[in-house]
Amino acid sequence: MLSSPRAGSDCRGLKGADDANRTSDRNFPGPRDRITMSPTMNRQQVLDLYFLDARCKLIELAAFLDRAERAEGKDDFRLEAFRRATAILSQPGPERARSVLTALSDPTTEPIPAATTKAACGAWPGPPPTA
Amino acid sequence: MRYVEPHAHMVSRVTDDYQDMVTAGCQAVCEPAFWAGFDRSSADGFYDYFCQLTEHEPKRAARFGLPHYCWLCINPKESEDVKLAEEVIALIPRFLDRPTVLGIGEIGLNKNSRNELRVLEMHVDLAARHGQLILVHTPHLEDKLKGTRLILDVLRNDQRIQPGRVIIDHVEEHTVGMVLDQGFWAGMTLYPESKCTPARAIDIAECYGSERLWMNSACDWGVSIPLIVPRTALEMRRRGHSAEAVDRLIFQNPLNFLTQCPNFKVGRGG
Repeated sequence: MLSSPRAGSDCRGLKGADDANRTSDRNFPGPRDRITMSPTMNRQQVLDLYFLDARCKLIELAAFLDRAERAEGKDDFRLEAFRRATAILSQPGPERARSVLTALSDPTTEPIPAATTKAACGAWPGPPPTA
Repeated sequence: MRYVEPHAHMVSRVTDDYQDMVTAGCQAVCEPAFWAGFDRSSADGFYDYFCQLTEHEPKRAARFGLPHYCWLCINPKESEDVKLAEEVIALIPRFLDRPTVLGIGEIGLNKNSRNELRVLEMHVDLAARHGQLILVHTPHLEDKLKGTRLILDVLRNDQRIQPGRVIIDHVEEHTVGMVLDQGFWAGMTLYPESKCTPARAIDIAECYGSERLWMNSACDWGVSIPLIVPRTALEMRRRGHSAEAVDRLIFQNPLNFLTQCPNFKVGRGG
């Protein structure tokens, strides 16, 4: 059975998803068929290529929070979820993107009775997961 | 550079997009059936849409030498109405022998409702009965994680379905692992405002390997970029990935999946 990430990756620390739910070998390619695409850049090169872009986005996040807090009114579940997710950025580890996405996701498992809208809003309105 | 655009809603795009895609090296474009931005009022609307996908749009693309293929279904955004879905699904078999049809898609879930799930199961049954490939749409934003799990449950529970003949599209960091680990193909959709950015898509390929992975624009009537696959290829080159690695991800991988359908006839020589 495979586990994520694929062999040869430098993204250590990622864990296989849904291990207990994996299928058997129906048309499953097997470990020998893995094709790696290992990272090519060292940390300096990553910073050279992406730092200014990330800096820009970081300031955008800060400005968004400032803008929301300057505005009249109350927070809603989206801003609360956003604040919880931003805390993930300062945590150590290689899975921040996945953790942020998960933090903003509906954690329930049952289908809803009926779809009353087509749109998604970006955060789940239910209670935050307990630690 | 050569590439296959495996997911683009060209009926919503202008002719200039075809010219630009061919100029950038596009060798074929594949168009899943989609929500029009408004609900169609009857199955007749879908009949006309399927004719557009299988007759008119291939001719429009052919003017620029671009092979055009399609997938057929009623999109999950219109799946809350089960009666309409049943009528539309009943129409699909009469189109399946048309020469540019690749399979059933993009089926899946949108808001993860019971009716959407029922219609997904109907589509999966249709694909299994007719030996068709499957292209799956996963929900947006906060609904994606739950929806992907529900979709994988449906596919896994149907023993007729071979994971290697199913592509689960719009994966992100929190869903790609479960899709690949269960033997399915995974599609990364490159969007300017949601889903994956080029940089994140390359991160995912670096972390999870490029096997059973493809990239697409899913360009449609909304904010989207028809040329974002070749632009992501340029980003890969900026990171130092080889031309061979780029070719594998944006050309050979789509071919490996799509040539499982005999109708897909793009040669490996490009």
